[in-house]
Amino acid sequence: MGGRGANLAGSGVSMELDWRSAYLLQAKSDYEMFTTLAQKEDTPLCHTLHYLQMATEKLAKSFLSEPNQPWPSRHQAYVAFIHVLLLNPNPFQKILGYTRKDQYKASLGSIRRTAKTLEDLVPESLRTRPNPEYPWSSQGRIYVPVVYDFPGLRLQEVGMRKLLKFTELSFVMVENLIKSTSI
Amino acid sequence: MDRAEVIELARRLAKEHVEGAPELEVIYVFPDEEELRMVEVDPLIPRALGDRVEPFYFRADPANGLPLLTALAVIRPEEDRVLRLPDEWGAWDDAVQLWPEAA
Repeated sequence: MGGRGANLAGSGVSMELDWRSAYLLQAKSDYEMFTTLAQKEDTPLCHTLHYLQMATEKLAKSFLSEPNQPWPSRHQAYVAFIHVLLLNPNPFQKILGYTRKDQYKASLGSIRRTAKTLEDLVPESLRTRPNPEYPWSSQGRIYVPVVYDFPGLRLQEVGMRKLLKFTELSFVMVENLIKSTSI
Repeated sequence: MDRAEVIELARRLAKEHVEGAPELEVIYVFPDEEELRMVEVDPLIPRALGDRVEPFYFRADPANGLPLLTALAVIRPEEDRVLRLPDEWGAWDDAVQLWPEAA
């Protein structure tokens, strides 16, 4: 059946979208929620990170998916997206504005490590690792997302600043790629 | 916070940031009493989206020593003093350079 005929809920408008565009549309909305929460006082970090994780996952799926096939039903996608860019410096090094290949590789390698930490926030069934949605236990102690400080993912940490800048440019890059291949 | 306090706060943050990212080449603050406005120059960062400095805004976090809303932009070396600043930030000449520290 493919992905035709997606509906913009609440808008009263039906739009003809393929899967890539549909993922991108939802990713943009998730990212807007993330930026809103990042600036809102007293918002627990877990909720902010939850939207960032969802936004980056769907952004990656909009890049990795076929137009007529949804991405397999798993959450892991953003690290794979960065890996594809790392393996293909032509054309992505130039698109992302890096003048030197060694800096491109070092930068994306560093961003990929932070992305892995973010991607690992997806809750797993055993509830043994940090995630933004459910309490988990580790070494006999129970942790709750709303009062956990998520080391490595605090928004102003160096790795996160780089990941956020990369993510914002990736939105533009992916949108342009989709437009250029949708004719 | 007054101007001197804002610069001192930015100086402390700049020191932390350079310790975590020695690749940072230059760090500026554009002093403002209501908002912490910083620009970092980093060769390991993608280019700007357009011709403007686009800061990311972080909420104030007094518990962790950040009493002001923070606007932090990271730009590439070739964009330093080239990109246009946000309207309310003034001019590049208004920037106080925090890193490298003056001899």
